[in-house]
Amino acid sequence: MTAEVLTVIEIATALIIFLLVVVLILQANKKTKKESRMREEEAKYKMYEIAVLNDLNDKIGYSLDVQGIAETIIGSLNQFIDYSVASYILLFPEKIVFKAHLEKVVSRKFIDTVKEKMIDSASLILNANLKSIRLEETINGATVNEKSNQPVKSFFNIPLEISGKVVGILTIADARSSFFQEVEMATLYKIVKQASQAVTTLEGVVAAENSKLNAMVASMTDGVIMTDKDFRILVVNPAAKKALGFENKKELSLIDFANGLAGKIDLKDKVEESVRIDKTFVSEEISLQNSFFKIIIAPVRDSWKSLGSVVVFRDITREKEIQRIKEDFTSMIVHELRSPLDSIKKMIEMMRATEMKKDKRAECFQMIYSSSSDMLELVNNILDVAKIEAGKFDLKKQPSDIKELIKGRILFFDIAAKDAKVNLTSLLGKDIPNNVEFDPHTISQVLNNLISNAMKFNKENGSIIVQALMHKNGESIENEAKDAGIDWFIKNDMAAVEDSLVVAVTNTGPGIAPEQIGKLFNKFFQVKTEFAQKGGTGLGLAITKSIVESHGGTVGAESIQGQGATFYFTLPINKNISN
Amino acid sequence: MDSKKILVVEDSKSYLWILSQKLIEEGFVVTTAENGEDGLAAVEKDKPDLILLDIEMPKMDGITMSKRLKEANIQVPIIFLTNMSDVKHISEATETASEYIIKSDISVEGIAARAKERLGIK
Amino acid sequence: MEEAKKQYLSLLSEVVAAAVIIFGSDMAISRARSVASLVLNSNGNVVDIKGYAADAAQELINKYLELSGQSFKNIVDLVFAKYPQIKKVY
Repeated sequence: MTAEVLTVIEIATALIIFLLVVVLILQANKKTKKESRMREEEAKYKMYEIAVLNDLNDKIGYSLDVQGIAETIIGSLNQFIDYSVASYILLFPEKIVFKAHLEKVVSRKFIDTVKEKMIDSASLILNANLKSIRLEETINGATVNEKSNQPVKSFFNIPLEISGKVVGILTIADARSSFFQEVEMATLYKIVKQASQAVTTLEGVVAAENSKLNAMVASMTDGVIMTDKDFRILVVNPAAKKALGFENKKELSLIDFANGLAGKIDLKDKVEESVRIDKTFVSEEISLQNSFFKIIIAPVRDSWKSLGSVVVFRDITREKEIQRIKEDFTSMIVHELRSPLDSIKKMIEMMRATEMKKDKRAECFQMIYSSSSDMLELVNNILDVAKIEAGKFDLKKQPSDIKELIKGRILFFDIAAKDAKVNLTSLLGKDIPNNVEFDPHTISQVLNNLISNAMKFNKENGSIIVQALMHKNGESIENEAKDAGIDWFIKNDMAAVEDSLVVAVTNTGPGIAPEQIGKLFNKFFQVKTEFAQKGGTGLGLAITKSIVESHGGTVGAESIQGQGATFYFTLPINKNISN
Repeated sequence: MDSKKILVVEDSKSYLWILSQKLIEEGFVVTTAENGEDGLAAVEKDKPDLILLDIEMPKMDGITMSKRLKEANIQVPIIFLTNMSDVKHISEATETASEYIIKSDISVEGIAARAKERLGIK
Repeated sequence: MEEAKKQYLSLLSEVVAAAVIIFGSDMAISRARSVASLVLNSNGNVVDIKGYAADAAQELINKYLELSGQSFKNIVDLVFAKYPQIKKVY
């Protein structure tokens, strides 16, 4: 072979190698381009995903509206993929809402096919026949044109699930076959899933808060009704039902309550007005089912928007009663002071104006004196009660002899007893120590109160006995009384009461009705009762109770109507007295 | 001339006393009762010519007592003894034009004079 | 072919058929085909399973469950109820 041939072969080989390299490089380029194109696509999907989810987040932030989610997704879809029709159905108990957005012109048949496929999907999922439910249809976007002959060739359905329930389906359809790529479809499924989960979580939070709120409202003592802006009841608690006697009713509407309040307050009217002019109403006292209520009606707003109203039933029966008792009490006091003062004034006028005979003058002075004493006693009683209320009641306890005290009181009341024609005596048990700790001044006051009450309520030629005995914890007081020869009306056996000195005043009077016994020692009790009819303020017993309770003892009264009554008090014997 | 009989129904002992004294001085025969119930009994027993009737009393108040008398068709004239606060109640409760005296505005002489006037005595 | 495998083929064909109605055939078939051990014919029926049938079933069903949780699960329960011998794999 010649040198020229060799060179040609060398050049040819070099050229071929060169060509090969070029081809390889071109191949590599192509591959890289494909890769970068793929990466571009991926980035595109990712961006779409982020953009839509952001948008959805905003929407979900202030409403749990599934329709909103569907609309948002469909609204932005054309930035992401190419399609003919994007539609959704929402499943309600009474209807199905169908909305289709046409990105391209399609025929009526196309839309119907999509609709059919969606209903079939939903029917299978819910295992129900949804074909018969009323369907509301809305179509927007491009026009429907019969001339367009293309059938549905590609489509996919995305079920919309909230809190485990399928509430709708989102469907994308196109006239071209196998048009949608797996990765496009997968992205959309992913977006819908995330959005649905967000809504589900939000629903869960709202439900939890609602049930907390419901529990709170349910346990309130005031009756509460909450309505939405269409005056449908959202919440009604047991107390509200009870106020109107609706405890056993299940379905209640505002009309039911309005009817229950007919003639007392125009509920519907007031609720509407309250919402309309944004004002809270408080009603006058209204009587319902033997109780008194104040009804408060207020609008409920969320910044500028009306959300509905709330109606509160406040039971003021107790307040009213207390108010009435206080008023009666005050007017009673005024009466007890006004009359004697007026008569003193008149007596003095008379004494100045006329020449009175000596014995009449003496009588006049006596009347002035006793009126003044009565009033002073009343004022002192009131002050005592006030002191007790303010916690300023002082006791000076010292070892004292109850027997001496009782004897002293009997002597004091001797004349009054004879005047009233009653027999006043004492009966003391044995073994009563003469150094029990108590304040003799106030206990003396207590005895005064009990004895003078006993005298007021006695029958003629009746008797009053002041009794005292020692009670041991665990013993029955009935037995102890029997042992001491004491006859009284106490039935309560007091076995649980600690060691005490028991002092009682028993009389033979008309007795006390059982329902009144509980109220006797209440400072506001009396005015229009049997007790008050004999005059006096009834404060004495309240003061008695306070004095005894300050000693750590108890007061009580028992009676047999027609026979008489026993008022008693106990003074505990301190075990560590000697120390 | 026969002395006229006046029944005074009043729960305040001192007031009752002072008023009775004055009326007795003026020549009336006076019977007393301290509440509406005893008052009704006294009307039946003593047959007074005039009743001076306090309003605020325990057991049965003056207005109720006057109603009972009306029901029993007892025609004895009544002058109510009242405090300012009761004036409204009197006109509500009794349909006949009733006379009343406001206790704090008048002396016992004044009351005696009104009594005489009502009974047509000079 | 063994009885068990036949059962699986039938079961899985039903599952795919259900997925077709629910999700549309584009997605349903695409997912089914992405399970390497399944062989589908042009009608969407599962005609062969390579390897462990239970694994294939699990993979297929999981792919569908990815698309929608609750709705598909109920359907799969109903299908599996018809094949008591086959254990649930999801």
